Amino acid sequence: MVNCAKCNGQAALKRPKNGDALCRSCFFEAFEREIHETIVGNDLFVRGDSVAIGASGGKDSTVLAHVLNLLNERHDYGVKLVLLSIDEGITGYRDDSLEAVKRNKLEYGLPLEILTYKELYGWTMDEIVAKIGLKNNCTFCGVFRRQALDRGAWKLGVNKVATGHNADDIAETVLMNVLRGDIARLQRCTQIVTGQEGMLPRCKPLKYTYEKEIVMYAHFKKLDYFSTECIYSPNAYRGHARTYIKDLERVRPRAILDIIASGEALSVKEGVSLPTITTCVRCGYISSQSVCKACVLLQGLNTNEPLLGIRKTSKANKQLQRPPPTSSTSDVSQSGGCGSGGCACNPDTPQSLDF
Amino acid sequence: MSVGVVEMDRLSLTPKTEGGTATNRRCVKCPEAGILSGLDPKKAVYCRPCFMQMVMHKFRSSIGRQRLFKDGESRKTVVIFDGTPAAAFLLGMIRSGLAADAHHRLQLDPVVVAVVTKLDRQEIDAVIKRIDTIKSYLQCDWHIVHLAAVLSDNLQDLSSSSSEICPGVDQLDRLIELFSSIRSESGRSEMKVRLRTALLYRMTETMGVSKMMTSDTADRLAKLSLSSLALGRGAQMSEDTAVVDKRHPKVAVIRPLKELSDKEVGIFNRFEQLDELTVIVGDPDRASPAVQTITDSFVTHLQAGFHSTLTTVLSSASKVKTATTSRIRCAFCFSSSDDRFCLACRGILDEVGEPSLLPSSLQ
Repeated sequence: MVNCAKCNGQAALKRPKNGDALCRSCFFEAFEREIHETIVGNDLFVRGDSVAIGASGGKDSTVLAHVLNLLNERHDYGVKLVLLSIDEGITGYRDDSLEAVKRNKLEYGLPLEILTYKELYGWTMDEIVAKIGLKNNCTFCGVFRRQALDRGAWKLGVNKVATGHNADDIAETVLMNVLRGDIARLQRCTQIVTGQEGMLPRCKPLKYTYEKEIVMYAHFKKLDYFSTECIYSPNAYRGHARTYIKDLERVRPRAILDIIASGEALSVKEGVSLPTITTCVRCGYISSQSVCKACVLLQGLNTNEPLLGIRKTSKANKQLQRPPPTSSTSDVSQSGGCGSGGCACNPDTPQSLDF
Repeated sequence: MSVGVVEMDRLSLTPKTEGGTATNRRCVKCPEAGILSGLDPKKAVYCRPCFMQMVMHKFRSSIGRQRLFKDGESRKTVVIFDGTPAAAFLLGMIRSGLAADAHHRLQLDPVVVAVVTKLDRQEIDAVIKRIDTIKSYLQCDWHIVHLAAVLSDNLQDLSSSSSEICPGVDQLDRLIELFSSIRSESGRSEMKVRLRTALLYRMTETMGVSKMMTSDTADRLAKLSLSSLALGRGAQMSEDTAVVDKRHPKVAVIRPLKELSDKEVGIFNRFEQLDELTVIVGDPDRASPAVQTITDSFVTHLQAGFHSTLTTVLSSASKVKTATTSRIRCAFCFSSSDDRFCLACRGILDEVGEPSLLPSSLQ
């Protein structure tokens, strides 16, 4: 029988991060204390902050909501917490995971706001995949969700957003950016707070927490979460990086923190060109180009040229010079988009876009 | 005439038609049929003479671009030979470069240092005999040294060519004991790389030479970059893969094969019969998994599906630098550090169960 490294009681688990054998209560205490130290050490919250927790119903955001609520009461951060969910419109996946978020809302007594792609962009992921197929659809979803989270936060009037990115996710992102040669993102993907200069700050309180420990914590605390993977991303390139990270962790658990340390120690050499942050001329949200990626992808969908924004062509650049359609609904009808197929979208119903 | 693009089978170098379908592609340099390609079969294809010329040009331009051997600088350079096909390729390039006429002559005075890392005495003797037969290929000073020499406090006798004993073999037992006391396979692998680099720096410095040339190809450097990232050495990626690496205060490391892939080197060696110069100087990786072996298979697998993986990783590595402004250099790897040892080296050294077995400069 293995004994707990801290209290000598009966051990219930072995921590993946450092191999310590711990009992349940000592594991809870260590897990929560480390997150608290991350929050305090990096000044993530200030008394009076309003914080939106990006809640997807999965294990990371469920544990994040639970722990933030717990630590807010225990250590009196003095912050107001809100749950913010984005509904991508994936039948059989997102609707079930949002049910888990609603149950968490009741359990923790936190307000919950749900935004849908349909109301923000006029398209659900089901409709997008029906138009462009399985390839590249992750690009649409990722671009839309990132902006949707910001727009939801503005709508709620909060001043910070907390996401459930854990150590494994950040290590994957560092690796992905090296593999894709994305130097601008490589420089900032390990920052625990991003978007501080006049924009809506995002923070990652679980930055140094291993995914396996999050699963263990949720399991022992019997937290209610949804765990099915997205049905539209079976061949995402990120899967390669994830498999590699898991293999490294099995052989050398500290490799995940070492990769994060590597990312933190990097900066870009002088002379390497980096994008300049401005705002989109169409929707006014943050962008490094004159027209932001979400508007480009949306125009591609609405004008029946879905690869606009996916491929680099001079034709695509010319397409961008044209003024955007005044109404996505009418253009959809004319171009034989949703209205011409078996899609649930009703072209006769007026659609208002929040631009 | 319909000619298929020939893909060299990765393992046996046997030509086979790509996808079983003949394609009419022309050499990008001349009207002949294109039968050979570099890293990416969808890009440029070459006929055999143009392919060979392309490979040689990559090698010569990587050196010429750096202007290392001009302006009165000493031309003496230590060439590291480790028996790999890339090392054989490097010997071939140097020999043909030195044999060229006055205008094209390689401005280089080579001294070859062959590094043996086997841990079995009989195998070490066999490797040394094999290297002795390779020496006649390039007429210059050759030195054979064992990795264990890094544990010796007195490197002066390494320059002596009169000794019949391979330098470092007297420290073999200590090296074996050192490796046994390292807790993880990843740490052992990393320690081997670091000790080898430290030995080469010391030897080159002791010989009074300021330049060292290695045969690291794009494949090896990309895998090294990702392994380093996973071991906490991300800040050193740029220096670890630079064509000219000047971290050490007195010795510059030159990597002229950075833009050449193992595939290109393998094809070139086959046509020029350079495979005869190869020898296995080290023990194969152990069966137990390590960060290094997992990374190797990951990169190989990814490169097979995404042909620009190697070039993108090396491009990323060349654009980043360390964020620290510290002037201190790590005593082990000479990279920027906040302390006597950098974070990654301290992590490796902490895994050594018997610090007294380390070189005295690292204790």
